[in-house]
Amino acid sequence: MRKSKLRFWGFLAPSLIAFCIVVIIPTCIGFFYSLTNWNGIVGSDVKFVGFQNFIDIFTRDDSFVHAFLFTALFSVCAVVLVNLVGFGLALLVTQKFRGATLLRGIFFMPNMIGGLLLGFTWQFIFISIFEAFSKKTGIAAFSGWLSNTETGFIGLLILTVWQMSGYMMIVYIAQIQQIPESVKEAARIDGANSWQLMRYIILPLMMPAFTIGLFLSISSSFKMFDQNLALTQGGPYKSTEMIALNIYNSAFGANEFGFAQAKAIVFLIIVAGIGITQLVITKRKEVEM
Amino acid sequence: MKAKKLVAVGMTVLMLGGLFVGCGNSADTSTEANSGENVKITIFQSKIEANEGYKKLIAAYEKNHPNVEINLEAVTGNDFGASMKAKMQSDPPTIFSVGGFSDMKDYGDVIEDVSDLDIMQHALEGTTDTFTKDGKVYAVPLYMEGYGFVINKQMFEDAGVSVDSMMNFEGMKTGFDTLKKKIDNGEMKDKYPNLEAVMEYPTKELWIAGDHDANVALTHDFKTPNEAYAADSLPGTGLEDYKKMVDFQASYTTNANNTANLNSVDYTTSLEGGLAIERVACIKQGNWVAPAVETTDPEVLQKLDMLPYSVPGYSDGKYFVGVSGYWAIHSKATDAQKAVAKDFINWMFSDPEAQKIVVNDCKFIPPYDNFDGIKASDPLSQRIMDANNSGNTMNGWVYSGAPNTWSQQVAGVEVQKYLAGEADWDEVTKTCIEQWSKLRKQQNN
Repeated sequence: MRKSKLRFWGFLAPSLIAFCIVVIIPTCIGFFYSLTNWNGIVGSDVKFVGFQNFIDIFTRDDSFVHAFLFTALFSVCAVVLVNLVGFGLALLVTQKFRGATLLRGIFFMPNMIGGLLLGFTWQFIFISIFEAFSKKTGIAAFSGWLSNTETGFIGLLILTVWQMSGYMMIVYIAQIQQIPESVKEAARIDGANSWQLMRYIILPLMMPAFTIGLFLSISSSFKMFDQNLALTQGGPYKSTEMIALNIYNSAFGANEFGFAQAKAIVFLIIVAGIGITQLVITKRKEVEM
Repeated sequence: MKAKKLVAVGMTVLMLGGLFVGCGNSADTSTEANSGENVKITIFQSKIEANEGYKKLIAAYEKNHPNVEINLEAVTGNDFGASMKAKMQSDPPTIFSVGGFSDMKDYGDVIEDVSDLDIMQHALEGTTDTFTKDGKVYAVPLYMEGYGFVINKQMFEDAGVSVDSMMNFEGMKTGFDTLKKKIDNGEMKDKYPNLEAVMEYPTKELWIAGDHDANVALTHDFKTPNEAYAADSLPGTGLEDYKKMVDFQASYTTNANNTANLNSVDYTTSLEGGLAIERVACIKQGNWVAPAVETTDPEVLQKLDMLPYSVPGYSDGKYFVGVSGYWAIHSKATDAQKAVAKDFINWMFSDPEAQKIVVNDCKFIPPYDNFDGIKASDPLSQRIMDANNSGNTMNGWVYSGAPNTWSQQVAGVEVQKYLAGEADWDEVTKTCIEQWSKLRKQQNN
């Protein structure tokens, strides 16, 4: 008994210690700082202010609430589009035709480029190329991109879908290839048309992949930072500022680390809540083969 | 067990002792250095563009002072704050770059009083304000920068407008209107095929719509950054002039009828994609644009000139100028090091050979009055130097005394809203004044 307990802790210890050092302890320190007015400079005076920072988040100005609503709306649109496009691409490239493998590579490519670089690239496309196009053709819709909230929002959406769909495609390809030919063949022999095959065979068997795909896209679009920073910098007039950027600005722009830390904790709770809810719901829909 | 503990404690004491002995020893050697032997100092600086110039200065100085060794280290502006915090803890430099009020607050304990430097007698008025405390000066001003309306002189002359006629607001407006008319009816097309508009106004950059344009508003209420820094509230008497200059600039751009679009124009579009390729004839900027224009098209640089930042009836004919870089001396350095550091700084701003390097290689506009007869390396810097000599300047860095983030995140953001039609100027005024007090109160806590 004694020996097995020792073995249990012995094997657990390395990862437990690592987990403590990189996750548990920083979280606790972070929570401590959220109760202070620390300005981020080592050695400066740190005053304990209780829950004042948490109250300030909602009373000082509406920037956090605005950033949250903007992020939420963005995430809903992005999650739907990214997964639809990703699934569509996966279906496309699992068909048997010449160049399918090449297309997989091409669709996945945007995912290999860093968010900052993509942000600047698309900024150039939206501002310079769209503007030039609008001048040549006279279509006003292509003029003044990223200068107002709507085009800023759509711009972020296009960038995100373009970048993340390829990744989701890979996830879905893996699952599509797991579906045995025999099941599909049996359905066809039973007289299922291709819509029925999709609806009653492929989609239910795809559920585990949707669980992962939704989780990844929800969490990454909520936490999106570098694309936001590079493409719009939250502008114009902070209207496209997402939560992560809002926290960053509080911490490094205004040097209010304590306040930023409090925002980060609220953010953590919200994202964790949404993520777990989604996992529970989609897990229920998964079917065993 | 007990014995082991004792040994451990003993070892620790020994090691700590060793540390102290080590310090003592090094102090000894430097006292020896005092008596004429080698002295080594380190400069830790943030103006990477001037690094080559500094190297030349150091080489010249070391030639005359064989027992001195100067180490130069540079980190770019964005990473400088964090690097310096680390550097201070591991290997404190003798001379280091400092910027504004926050540095004065953070490093106040470790910077040396430099009031007694000979060169300080030549410092232009107001250039030492930020680092003055109780009548003593704690940092040496290094270089000045100034801004106004940077114009393509050639274009205006081709349109029949002389530069001298535009030295006040009325003249500038007349000149701009003349050029605008000629652009609109196609008269400039032959000579300048790229030319689209008189101005570009990149309000995507919060520092352009915020810091610099807001500065005009602030100078109505505060003469120096120190006054602004001490103010709990903003009277806001200059905000009408702020509006005037925002409207003025916006009205000469291609987006004059749809000012919301200005919020997506960035600095690069206005400079490398604007002024430097002769797409526009003017942008409101400072002498710091010269290197970028030179890289894009050296010929255009020679056509440039700078008009004053004339606000009608307020700052007609004045350039907004200020010091944007300082050097401080570490007060915990040895006496020998401090002496060398002070001598080096005195030398670089007073020796005729060194002065030339400062202006031509570091490309500085020196904040001192003993640089007569030395020409700047580009026409924009020359304008600022002349303005300094004739006194046609106002303080361009008053915004640095505003509450942290106010000038960009409040004033700049509000101007973006105003241009997009999301707020009228009364709301802008109200928010600017309210947020000043609010931020000040938070930051003084």
